[in-house]
Amino acid sequence: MKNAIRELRTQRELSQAELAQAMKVSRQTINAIETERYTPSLPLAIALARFFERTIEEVFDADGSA
Amino acid sequence: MQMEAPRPAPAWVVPALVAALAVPTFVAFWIGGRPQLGAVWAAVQLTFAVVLVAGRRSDTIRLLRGLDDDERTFALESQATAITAVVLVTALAVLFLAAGVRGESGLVYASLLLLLLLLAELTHLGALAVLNRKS
Repeated sequence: MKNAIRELRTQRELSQAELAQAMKVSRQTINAIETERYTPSLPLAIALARFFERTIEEVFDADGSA
Repeated sequence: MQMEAPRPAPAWVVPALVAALAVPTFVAFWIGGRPQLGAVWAAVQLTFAVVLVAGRRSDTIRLLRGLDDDERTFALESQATAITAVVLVTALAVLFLAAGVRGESGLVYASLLLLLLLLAELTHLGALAVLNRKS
């Protein structure tokens, strides 16, 4: 699923590892989400949106799903 | 709602379990009167355990050991388990057919295949019932 995670993360000057630690997932999972190889669960998607203080729709583009 | 990943096991669990399998492996072959062969198979088990410990920088090994457990690896594990089951049953079916080609009865493979399919079906039904109730 298309998303703005990489953009939002780099805006905050966070590494994938740092975001992963904040989300309690692995760095590989953050990488997989950013490269659209993995669609996160609803709880993780909500946690990511809250972390970046955005709505789900602002972070994830359901219409652009792979 | 998507299933949550279970709590990750400590890092030493998988290598320890693999290494621990060396003991019953050796004992089984020793009881069967072939301790040397048992020692070889036990050494294979121990080598695999060492590879699991030494290869912790490999992503695949980390997945096997459950070092980076989260919802994605849980999903990967589930898919890998399903693929493994299909491959195992297919391999048994191929072995059964190969036995037929060799002129053998293939009874061992056929009975093992039937037993596994029965076990798989019962497990599948039971798991669906329990998971359905929990979801």
